[in-house]
Amino acid sequence: MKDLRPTEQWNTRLGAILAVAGSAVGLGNFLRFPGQVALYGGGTFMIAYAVSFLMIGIPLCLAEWTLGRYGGRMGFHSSAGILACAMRHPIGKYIGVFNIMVPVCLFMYYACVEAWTLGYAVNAVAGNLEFENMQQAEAFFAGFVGLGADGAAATFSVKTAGIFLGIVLVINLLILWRGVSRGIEVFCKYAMPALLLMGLVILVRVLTLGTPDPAQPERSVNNGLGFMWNPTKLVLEARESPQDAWRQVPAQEGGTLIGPIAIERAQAQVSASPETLRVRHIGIGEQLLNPQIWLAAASQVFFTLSVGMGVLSTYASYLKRRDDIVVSSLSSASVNEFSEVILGGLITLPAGVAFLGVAGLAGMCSTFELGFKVLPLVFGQIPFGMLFAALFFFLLFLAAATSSISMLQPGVALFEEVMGVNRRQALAILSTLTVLGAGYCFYFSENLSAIATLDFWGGNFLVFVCGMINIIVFSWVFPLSRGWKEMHTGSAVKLPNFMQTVFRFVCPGFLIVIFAYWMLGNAFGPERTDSPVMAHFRELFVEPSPVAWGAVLIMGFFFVFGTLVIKSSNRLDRAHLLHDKRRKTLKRRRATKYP
Amino acid sequence: MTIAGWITLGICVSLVIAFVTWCFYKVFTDEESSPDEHALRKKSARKKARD
Repeated sequence: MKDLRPTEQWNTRLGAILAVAGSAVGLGNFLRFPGQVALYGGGTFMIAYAVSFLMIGIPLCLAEWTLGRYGGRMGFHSSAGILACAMRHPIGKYIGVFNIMVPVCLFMYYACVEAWTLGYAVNAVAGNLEFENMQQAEAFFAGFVGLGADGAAATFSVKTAGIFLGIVLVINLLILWRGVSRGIEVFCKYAMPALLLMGLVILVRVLTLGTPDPAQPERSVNNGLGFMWNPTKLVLEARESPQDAWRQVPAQEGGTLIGPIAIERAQAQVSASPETLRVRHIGIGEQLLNPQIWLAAASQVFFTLSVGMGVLSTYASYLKRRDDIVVSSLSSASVNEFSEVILGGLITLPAGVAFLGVAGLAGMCSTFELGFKVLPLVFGQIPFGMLFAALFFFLLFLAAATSSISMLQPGVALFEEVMGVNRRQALAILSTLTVLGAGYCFYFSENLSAIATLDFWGGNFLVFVCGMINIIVFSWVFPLSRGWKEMHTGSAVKLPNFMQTVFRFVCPGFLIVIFAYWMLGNAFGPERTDSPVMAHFRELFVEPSPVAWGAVLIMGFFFVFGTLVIKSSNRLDRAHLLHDKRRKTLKRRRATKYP
Repeated sequence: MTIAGWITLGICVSLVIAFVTWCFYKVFTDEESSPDEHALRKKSARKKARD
């Protein structure tokens, strides 16, 4: 039987909130979110985003916090123990392995990206990021991460990522070595306010850029904000002949019209050839009818809040019995939204448009392109730009570090619990596995194939599956009546009753529909031949590649290892029987034995 | 940026700031779980036990 002695706990409530917020705030807030908003409808995207946040984000956060605190009260901190307790069935401990495997696999490539942010901060200080054009920025990035050939970044130069990966791994492991309250909590208590402060400094600088080049008045912060926040769109459409259908001119060629100058220019083009060109207004309703917006918004909410990874439940398991989980989970989500909507939404794209224009930025909205190519180029053109670049990349490094340490904690908790080892021994085992995995992601750097593969299977596919499992367990297996009571224990706020319907039907239904739509589109839709799902399957079975099989082996090894360790240990054997009544009996017995 | 864009931005920023303010107001005014309160209660309990 698992020992019920209190284990580690958060020292303060604020520390727990900042640690969870730190886990949620990551590169996605500053780089992925603005790219998604710009790609999918600007301000209209925010409607879909807000609905997804209320229907998926908040319920999933609350569910994971509640399951975590409940498991922690029973003496379990790993998802295996927590799910076994919550499901009251031994199968829970095997399902929980997925919740541990996902963050550990994510850590393997996230550590590499974290190393890039630290490396870019150092290179900004050294003055190596002063690029004059996009080609230079692209060449530096390619050399830094080793895009050209596998293993090309494994050097001791500051212009490659190798040494920074070593530093990042040591920092992460040292923080975890110190434990939950003395390591993770203390780090997040300083890192999170520092991150927000740095974000605000950069925000003020970006918003005061105005129109940096008066000769190019359409390249302004105002137009950047328009690119990001205008709810309706004006686009230029073209056709070959009057019989053909209208097609939108690509944004890179001036198809997206932001600001009076672009609109006037487009109208002049239309008057010159009205048969083949037209300006079209796309309203909010039309954009919201596009399922892609909903898919993108739901995915963004899902990934930004770190749900479906077992991290929230593990962190919540270190809470005290009567800690307010409703307010705490909402508070950590609010910090994440502040970083995402206010800092992420007002820094990255407006700065990019102010120097590159809408057309120059349009094709560069992916996370890595925006972060590691566009922004260094932009900072290079601002007075004292390298100072702001160093600040920005250090901000990204802090955001990534607070997230990456959270990804290993579920694994550490599992080994502590199941193998009966102490924290440091558990960390030693886990770090051996993760350093090997990070080495795989770092070595197979050609076209970032290893990172893309692990991100696809771990960061997209399995995260969604785990999120669905968690909400179904909470709403239907735990079940919700018990979960609702447990959630409100010690809470200063009572959620409205309609949220029970959201937990039970809306959130799981929303997730299942989105997942089914995504799978159908990728596997059976008209674009299936180019879809990432088919591409990854091709790499596995049609043209087998070592990278694809490496990712499968890593995830498969961790799953088999985790399952075998759980199976061979008897420490979780009765987790599913350990409910409140049993716990009270044990406490009473212990009190009689040791008065 | 259009007027609708400014309105969207204004609504989003206000909602987020209101959300953050409400949450942290609750965190710092909730006596039940305030860390200082916990510490004080523990201290006074220990003192009582000593007495």
